[in-house]
Amino acid sequence: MMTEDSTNLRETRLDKLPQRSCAVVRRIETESEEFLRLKSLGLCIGRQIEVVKSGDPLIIKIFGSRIGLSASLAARVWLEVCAPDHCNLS
Amino acid sequence: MSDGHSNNSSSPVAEIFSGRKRLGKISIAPLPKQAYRAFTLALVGNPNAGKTTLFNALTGLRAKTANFPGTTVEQKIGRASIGQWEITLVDLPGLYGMESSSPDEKLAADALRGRLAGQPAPDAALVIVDATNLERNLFLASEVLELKRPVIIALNMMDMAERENIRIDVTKLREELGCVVVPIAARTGKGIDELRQEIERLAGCAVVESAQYSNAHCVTACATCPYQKRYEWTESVSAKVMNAAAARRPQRTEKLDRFLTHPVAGVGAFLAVMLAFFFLIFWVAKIPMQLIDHLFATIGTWVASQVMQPDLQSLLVNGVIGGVGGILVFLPQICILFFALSLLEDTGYLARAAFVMDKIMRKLGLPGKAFVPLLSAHACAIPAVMSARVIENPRDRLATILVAPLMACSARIPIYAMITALLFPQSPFKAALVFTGAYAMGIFFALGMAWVFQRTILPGGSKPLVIELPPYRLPGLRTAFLHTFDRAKIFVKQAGTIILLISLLLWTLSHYPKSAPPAVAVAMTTQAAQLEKSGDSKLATELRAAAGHLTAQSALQNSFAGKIGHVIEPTIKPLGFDWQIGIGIISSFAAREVIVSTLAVVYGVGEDAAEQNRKSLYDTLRHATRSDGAPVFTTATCMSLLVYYILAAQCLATSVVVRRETNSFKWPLFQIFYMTGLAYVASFIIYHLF
Repeated sequence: MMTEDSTNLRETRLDKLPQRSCAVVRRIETESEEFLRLKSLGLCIGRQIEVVKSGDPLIIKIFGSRIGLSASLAARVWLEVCAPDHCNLS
Repeated sequence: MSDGHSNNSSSPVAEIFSGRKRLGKISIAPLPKQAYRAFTLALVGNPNAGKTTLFNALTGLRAKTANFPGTTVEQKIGRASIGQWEITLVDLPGLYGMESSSPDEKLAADALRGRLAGQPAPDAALVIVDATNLERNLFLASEVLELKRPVIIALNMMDMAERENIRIDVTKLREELGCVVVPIAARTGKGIDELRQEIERLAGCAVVESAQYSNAHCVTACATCPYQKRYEWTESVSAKVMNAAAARRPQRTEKLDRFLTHPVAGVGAFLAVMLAFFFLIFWVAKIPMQLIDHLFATIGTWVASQVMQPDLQSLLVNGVIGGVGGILVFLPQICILFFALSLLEDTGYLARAAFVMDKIMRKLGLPGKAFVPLLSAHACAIPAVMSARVIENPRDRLATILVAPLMACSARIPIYAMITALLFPQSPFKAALVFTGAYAMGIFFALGMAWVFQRTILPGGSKPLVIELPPYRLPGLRTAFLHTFDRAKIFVKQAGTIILLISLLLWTLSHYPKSAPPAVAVAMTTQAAQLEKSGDSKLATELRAAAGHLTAQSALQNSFAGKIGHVIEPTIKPLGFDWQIGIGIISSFAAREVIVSTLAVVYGVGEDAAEQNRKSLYDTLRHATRSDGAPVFTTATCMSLLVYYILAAQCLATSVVVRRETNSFKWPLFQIFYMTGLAYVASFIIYHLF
């Protein structure tokens, strides 16, 4: 586990993540109703996700499923980028 | 079907069953056999897990669609005879988790918990789990298991999982979950018999102990992030029962998506798909529509030959057969639309269409999926309003329903044709230009009003997009057929009841009170009789027809509709309309195109001219004059009438469907008010510009 400081340094917003990158969800800044659905879809703290397609809307992959979401929602999600080859999502 | 306890001990289900007994997880006391005990089974699962396919496989045609009381959210209720049991199967809306904000998912969760008034909790839950996406699907399954009710898990898409080299140890999964797990492939029907056996067994137990499931890991640590802990659990279970390492995730979906979700190529592909879609509901539907039209005309002629009493004849032929036929003629469009839509949804493409169109449509306060109803509205607003159900969010759905009838539906074409013929009889090019302009104006106002509603009565804009993009799959024809049948049934029911009543009301307005034929017509008939005696039958027939037209004209002028025409004349005068056009507008409430035949009667050309001799109708209209001798159909009046018919809400059949789909009288009334208000103002401006 990271310390508080280093976590902040390495955190990136989901809408800023480049295509094909993989990251672990660290913080979600809102409790809006859309996030209830995103959480039940698997976008919750500690989950590893992959950006399949960046832009607005963007596509992420959680487990085997692909989810399209608006960049405005993605901007509320902070993630820690994994080291290359950490994820084996392909 | 087996008639009771399975004696085939080698089947996997029997094995599961005996295993369950050995584990002592569920104790079962068999009931004495009794006929048809009611047993309610709720079907729950993630969207795209194959819920509808399984529901259809279990119930077939024995299903009806009903709204949850007081809402517009649908649930399907079907019956299945399994063994000696009559099982009621309730297909709840798809949901991802029990804590949800969307009305559909909330209702599904509440129904499952037995929290809905007038709808007791189901006796058991049948949870459908997508075997190709176990980690995600087990999330909901574990929440349902925590309700401590009897649960059967149908592990669906086993054929797909096999193809992707995903091997699932069903026995181990059953141990982990503490409930019955039946591997199935709903689409091919594999495993359905075993599933029916399990349902039968569950229904036959006097006291069914709930599934023995406890997720201690989750119970202790769920306070902070319940989702995180639960997902950790689903992941650990998946890892135990599945050989994920060897799985070949299909590349096909990824490759297709690279193209179909591309901002440029994706939109291009979307337009191509929609063009094909439009072609189907507009042109292909024409053939069956003409057949239905012909069928009702034949029935009408036959009834007319059987019933001689003129009032009854007119009531049956024009009121009942004409009224219902005029609406049922849209049945082919509705069937084709819902069939194609079901296929599009089933393949997974509809989610992509929503994805690529979302950004464009959002600017107007509409979701990406609104494109489907808005396009369909160019054929007919009724299926368009019905198809707005593809939009999950209620606000977005309402916005779409409110603006869809502004699109130029096919019932407006005869009016556009009449007006362009009156305006530019010599220039087909100009006529075509006006025609195109009329379509463009409909689109412009529909999108414009969506934008206005977003800033006024429906604030907040369209909800940000969150959509699952399921893997592309071959669509199920059976599902599509049943879905089409279901929608057609709803439509026919409406046409047979409330739309028939409206048609009868409008018929009454234009036929009563009755008036004596005008003196001229009587004289002409007498003259015709004399001519016939002297052998000039050709002239006699012509005279009779002319007398008939005069009688019809006078009857309509003296009817309630004629009187209303006079009453509203001061109101519509600023738009350049006289009382005769007023009668036409009133008759349009049955269907817009009726104005053409009404004008034919009002101007004494006879109803047949609207069908067979358009030129004579147009000539008469062109030469029609007001009481002061000025022509009625000037350029200004024609343009004003055109704009009025582009924008006004006139089709009461559409309003009936809007009432059903919004579950309120408020919204259809609002729609009639705003559209007609818009039409009035626009026509007024146009009339005074020309």
